Amino acid sequence: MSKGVLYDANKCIGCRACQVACKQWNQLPAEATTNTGTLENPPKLSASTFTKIHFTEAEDNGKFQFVFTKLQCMHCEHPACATACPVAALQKTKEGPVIYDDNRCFGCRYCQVACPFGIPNFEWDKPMPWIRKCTFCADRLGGGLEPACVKTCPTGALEFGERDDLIVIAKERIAASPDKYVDHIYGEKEVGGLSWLYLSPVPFEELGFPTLGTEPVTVNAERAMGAVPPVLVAVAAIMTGVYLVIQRRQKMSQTKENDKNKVEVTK
Amino acid sequence: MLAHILPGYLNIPVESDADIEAYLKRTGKHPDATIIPQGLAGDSSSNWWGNARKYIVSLLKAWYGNAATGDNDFCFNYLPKVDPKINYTHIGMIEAMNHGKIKGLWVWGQNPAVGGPNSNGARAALGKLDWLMVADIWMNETAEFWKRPGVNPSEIKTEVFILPVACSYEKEGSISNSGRWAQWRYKAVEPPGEAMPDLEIMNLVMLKLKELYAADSRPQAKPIIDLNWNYGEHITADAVAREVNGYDLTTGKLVASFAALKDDGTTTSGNWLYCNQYSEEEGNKCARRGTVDSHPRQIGLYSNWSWCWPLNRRIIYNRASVDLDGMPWDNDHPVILYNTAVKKWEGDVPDGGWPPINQAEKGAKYLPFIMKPEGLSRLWGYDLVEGPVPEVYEPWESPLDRNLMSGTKNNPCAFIGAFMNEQGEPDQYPCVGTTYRCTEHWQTGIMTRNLPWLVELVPDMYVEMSEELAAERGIERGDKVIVSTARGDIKAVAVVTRRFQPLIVDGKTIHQIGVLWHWGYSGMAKGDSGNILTPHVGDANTTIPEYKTFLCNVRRA
Repeated sequence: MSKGVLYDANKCIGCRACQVACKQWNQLPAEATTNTGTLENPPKLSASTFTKIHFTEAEDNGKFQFVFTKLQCMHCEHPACATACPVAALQKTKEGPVIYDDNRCFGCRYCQVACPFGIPNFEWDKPMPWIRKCTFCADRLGGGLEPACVKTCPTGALEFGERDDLIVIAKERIAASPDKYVDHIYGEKEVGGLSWLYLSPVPFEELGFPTLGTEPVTVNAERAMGAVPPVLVAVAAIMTGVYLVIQRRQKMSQTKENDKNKVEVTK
Repeated sequence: MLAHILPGYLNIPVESDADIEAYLKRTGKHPDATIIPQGLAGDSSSNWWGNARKYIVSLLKAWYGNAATGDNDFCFNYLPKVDPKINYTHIGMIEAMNHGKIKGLWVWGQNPAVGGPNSNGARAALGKLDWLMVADIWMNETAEFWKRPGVNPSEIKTEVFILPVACSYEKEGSISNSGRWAQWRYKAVEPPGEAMPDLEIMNLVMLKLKELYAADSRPQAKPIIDLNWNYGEHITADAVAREVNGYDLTTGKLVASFAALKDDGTTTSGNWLYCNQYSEEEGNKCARRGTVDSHPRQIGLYSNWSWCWPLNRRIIYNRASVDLDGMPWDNDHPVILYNTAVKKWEGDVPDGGWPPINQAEKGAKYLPFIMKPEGLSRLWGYDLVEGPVPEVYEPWESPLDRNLMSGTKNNPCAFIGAFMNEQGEPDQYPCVGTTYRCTEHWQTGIMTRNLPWLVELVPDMYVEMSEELAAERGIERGDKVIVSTARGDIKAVAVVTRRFQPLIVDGKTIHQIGVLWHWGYSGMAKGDSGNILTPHVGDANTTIPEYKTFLCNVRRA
């Protein structure tokens, strides 16, 4: 039996305690963020942000509402990343988590290309970069604990359990309140099924979920491996350089902005 | 805050209270105040405040020990007495500082430079003090007011003392919640550096004060010399918890309940409402961690988790939840219910153990609101200064020129500050501002703006507005904007959202601006304080600040 998590957007209040609990358990550093006019931050998942709540202001039959979504690795039943990985650094465990082994990975980043959700992140700013993503708290699961985000959720929007049981619960919730939910458990069938399952009051495409078929995404790893590795190496080098320059510029403009604020703060 | 009371809701004495008797008569906390209502099923009022003499005497015995005797009215005249014409609340205190009436200020775990209304006025007021002591777990805006942006530190004469204190996980003690539970917390880690629990700081200061005044023969030194302060060099929260509960001085044992307190000086209690929280048999009940709901109908009281004042009664005035026969109005969630067979109340601790009105003897049919002299709840609020019936008033700054509900526009009894408290007019400030919090930051932000994980979530000061207002002012989502009032301007990021909608009032379109207030010039994440905008206006009865509505305008920065 495989574990899963059911996320119910009707129960989530967007408090983002899950984001903090994830960073705490995984000892991830805070990102330097700015408010860009939304209540959402950091702007996207990264090597130091494995999960985040996405905020949507949605309209449903003339009823306007705030709808939240939790983003993290979906831990697919048939993960494209694991299929794409030439060295089996990414593997689907029978317990549910798609786990990653630093010692095997050699940095090809095919997993990034293969993932239909754009989840695996590369540590561009490290000299020895690895792929980073939600671990499904495999280390906690092994000790009989639920994932850190589920543990901290104050409203029960996150529910951890056997994936099969969660699908039953999700169906019951939809049946009990058909006016509150769209009749769709995202993750039940998408790309062959996901360990993370979603309930929503509005269609999932409005929340930014990709519309996917029920067939697992497969990538022929060997064919991909044969394709011009020197180009890949060069691209990687260039992209790392570009990334570092952008980072430096952002930091400098941040400092300038802060200095400006200091002067204007008491006007 | 709570400047009107001593511990246990005993009123603060005023200058004209010559003795305890006069004090109790004036405050209505006297057996003579009992009113027996006519024409009701209930024919008796317990007027529990008629017991107040026992509570004030026990409090004075706790504070002044052997010095407090029947002959000297238990040192009642050691208590500070207030002038009823002066407002002693937060707003009143800032005004008094501005008028030079207050020379020194102790600030414990508060941040008035950000948290109170009209921050510019509050910061200027701090500069009029001779000295300021700030005790906090982080450096805050109040402690750093003298070097805030835009001022010259050499022009500020206030001497500032900063005492680093332990946070709640670095000390033992109780925490009270708004459900009246007192929950005991243990120390998890040692405080960093020189930080100390505030209790220990207070102990050291008091010991020093006693030393300084020991040889002073002036009458004003007596309350310090006679103060019963016997904790030794290292005070413990446990010792204070016992003292707050109180002792029977004839036996030396902890008093079991406030029913055992006496007015003859043979009992002590630091707060009569906390009697019963510590007992000889059960120890410190605040530390209880019972996870079984012992209520017969399991309504979720969990009465064996921590302790709740008074007497572990989880829901006060609970005799109002039953009918005249003691049967619950809400049968699905009975708080208490009367078991006629055994003539006993079941469930929560009843508010007075008397039988239900229909089953009680004539003359002992007690009404449920035991703290009121008439035993009843009040729709007619005759002790409210602008009562007795509720009225709707426009705020001090309003976009309307009249009150649409009645003939009087503003509350005639509201407290209006006099210092740096300019009033805006709607032609210059047509929008209505309101302040509120976000989930990720706490109060003035001192405990959260220094935590990188929370700063990452909400890094910058922001304001929220409708798409319509943003379009009118040419503001795009994420633009830097300036929100201005007659009292000051702030810079913030604009969050433009359909969650804000223009209001149509009296045929006029009125735009609202939502202002967060957690930011300041100290700590890791800095930003302008929302309270720069709010006025120094207080509610007529409590002087709670009018944070929620003021006139403002917004433009692109």
